[in-house]
Amino acid sequence: MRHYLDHNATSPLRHEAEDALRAAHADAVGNPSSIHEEGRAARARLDAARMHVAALAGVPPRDVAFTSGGSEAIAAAIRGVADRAPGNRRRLVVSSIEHSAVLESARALQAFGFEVVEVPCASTGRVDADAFADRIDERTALACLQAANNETGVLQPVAEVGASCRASGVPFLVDAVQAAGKIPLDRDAWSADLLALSGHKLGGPQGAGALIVREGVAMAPLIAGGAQERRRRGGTEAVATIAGFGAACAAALRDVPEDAGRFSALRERLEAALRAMAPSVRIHGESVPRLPNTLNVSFPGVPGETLVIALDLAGFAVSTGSACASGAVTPSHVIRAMGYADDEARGAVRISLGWDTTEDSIEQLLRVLPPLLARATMAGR
Amino acid sequence: MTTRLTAVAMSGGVDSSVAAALLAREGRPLVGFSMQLVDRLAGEAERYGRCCSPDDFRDARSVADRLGFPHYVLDMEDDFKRQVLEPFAEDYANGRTPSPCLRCNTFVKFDALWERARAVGAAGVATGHYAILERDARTGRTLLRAAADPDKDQSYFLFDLSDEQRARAEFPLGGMSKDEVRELARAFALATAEKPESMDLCFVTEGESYRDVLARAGLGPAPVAGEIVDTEGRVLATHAGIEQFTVGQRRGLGVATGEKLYVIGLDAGSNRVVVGDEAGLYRESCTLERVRWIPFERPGGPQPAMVRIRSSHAGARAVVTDRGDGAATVAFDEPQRAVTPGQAAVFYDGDLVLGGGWITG
Repeated sequence: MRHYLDHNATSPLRHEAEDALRAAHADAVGNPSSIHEEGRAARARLDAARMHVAALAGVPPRDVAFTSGGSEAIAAAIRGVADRAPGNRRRLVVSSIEHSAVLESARALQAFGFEVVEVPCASTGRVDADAFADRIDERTALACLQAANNETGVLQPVAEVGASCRASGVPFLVDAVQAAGKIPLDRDAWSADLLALSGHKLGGPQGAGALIVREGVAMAPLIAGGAQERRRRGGTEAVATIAGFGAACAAALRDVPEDAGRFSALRERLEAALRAMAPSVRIHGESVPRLPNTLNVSFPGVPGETLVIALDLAGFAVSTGSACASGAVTPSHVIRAMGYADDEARGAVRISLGWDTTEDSIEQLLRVLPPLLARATMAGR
Repeated sequence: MTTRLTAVAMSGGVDSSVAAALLAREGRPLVGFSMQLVDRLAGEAERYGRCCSPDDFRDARSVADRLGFPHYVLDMEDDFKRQVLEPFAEDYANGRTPSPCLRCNTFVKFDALWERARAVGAAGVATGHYAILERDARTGRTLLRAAADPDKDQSYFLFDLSDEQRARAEFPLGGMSKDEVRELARAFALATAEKPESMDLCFVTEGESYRDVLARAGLGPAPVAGEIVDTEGRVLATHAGIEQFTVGQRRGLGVATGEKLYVIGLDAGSNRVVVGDEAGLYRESCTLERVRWIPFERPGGPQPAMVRIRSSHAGARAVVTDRGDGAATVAFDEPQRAVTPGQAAVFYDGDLVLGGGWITG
């Protein structure tokens, strides 16, 4: 029996998404750009999915452009906006704890004359809104801040930063990949011009995501070559996958209020038990608001890699902050950005709950942990 | 758990793949580990050593998948740098010829890797080494023997494991020939069955030298020029750095004389390379430090043995006298060519490894 507690990496396919995928695959799916009946049927599925995604994001359907996933949505936003930015705006302002999709997309533009300013994060795990605002000026082409951190779950001051961007006329991209499906999204409150979403983080299939673009934002398409997605993304849409994404969004929207309470209760139970089990446990981001489903901990003297492997062997899927191309664990840039040393950054383990998490999984986890921790601590000496 | 978990060190090569398959066939619970040793040192995505490239990790992973046990890649760059690369650089700088594979076994595979494996519940470590371990019921010690296939024997590289390390190690291939192993790899339909063997230092990529690796790792002091002298101390030429020479070397001396000259000694103190004729390469004895005995704590007196002074050396009859302070002297029956400081001298009685030590001079 496996216990899957790594929803921030990928959330298992929701039943609603599975049904939608199957239904879309079962039909003879045409090309949604075709005018015939099969094409119209595909288009109808796409339109339905677009409505669901738009509803989750609280935006008009026309603002939704489908992509292959969160990373593509982010790359499209950063490249696309930079491409159309006025010549005197050659600065990208991002936080230092953004997902690598943001950091690497931004850094890639350094070769094209853009300066990348990384706003540091406080030891709480939260980026300081004033520090972010201070770095935005009339030379800024784009600002980007995540709604919630993928490793710690810490909610970032997107509303404050968004207001500053709006006041300075700077386009603002919010990476909402981790927030979507876990907390309500509010584009207007965040003054976001662009929102990036990923399907598989909220129970949809891997391979679909969306970039939500506010009307009037100047942006070049990342993939040219067709009129699809209002010329924001060329290429035939992955209709069935997108149908699954849409169904997952509808289910997530329905479940968010109830799940948030359920996850909070489970996480509180987990945190209290971990503290009792190991008084030296460190809970990253505990002093500030976090996503209700995410718990990032380290046990001094225990490498995260050891704990993740030991738990995997015991039937539990959790993760360390980050892994390199080979799959080996590297120190988390997020925990490091919070001011911790490499050892602490190597110790971080993320437990993330989701739609299929049961109380039983949490109880089982608490049952197997003490001996695993004792063994790992001994070996670490 | 009825049987205890065994960690398998998997390089992605045919040997460790077959070792894993043999244990899996017995229904043993296994967990596979591949060590990432030099990735970050390599600095750029395209440069990987042959033995720890993403392709090898993929091969190891596919073998583990096929055999039905979990596999993980461990970042062991810090351990490898501290335990292997730094001493490697230091040896060269001090006029010694290092033995990185031996240190990697003692300090990385059977120590650092073992610690990580133990931390997740493993009771022992299996590898694809060709050597035989055998418990001596009388003494309780774990004996080390040469592999059945003399061409593949790797016992030389394993002499410096402690008794504890040998006790928890397992070498499923020790009794097999290379052909049998290939055969088994095919029979098990392992992805690695036809992979070529790796022969050179695993951390050095094709087309570069170990010096490039050390330079990238920021190791090894800048070479200091010095003199090349003969046995009488006459200066024959200059050299660009003592770390570029090894005892027995003939080429690249930059000395033009009528006779064939060899490096017969390296004096780190005076930064001199000593050259001489071939006869000057032969030694009747050598001294060792950090001596380890395997079947017993220490021999009762002078110990006759076949002594191998480098991995490619067939062995020479000698008497080893343990001096009690970790040091020993080896008196060869016949003078031996190119006895090289920094290399290991390993003592055998037939296929039984009696012990070994590190050549100091």
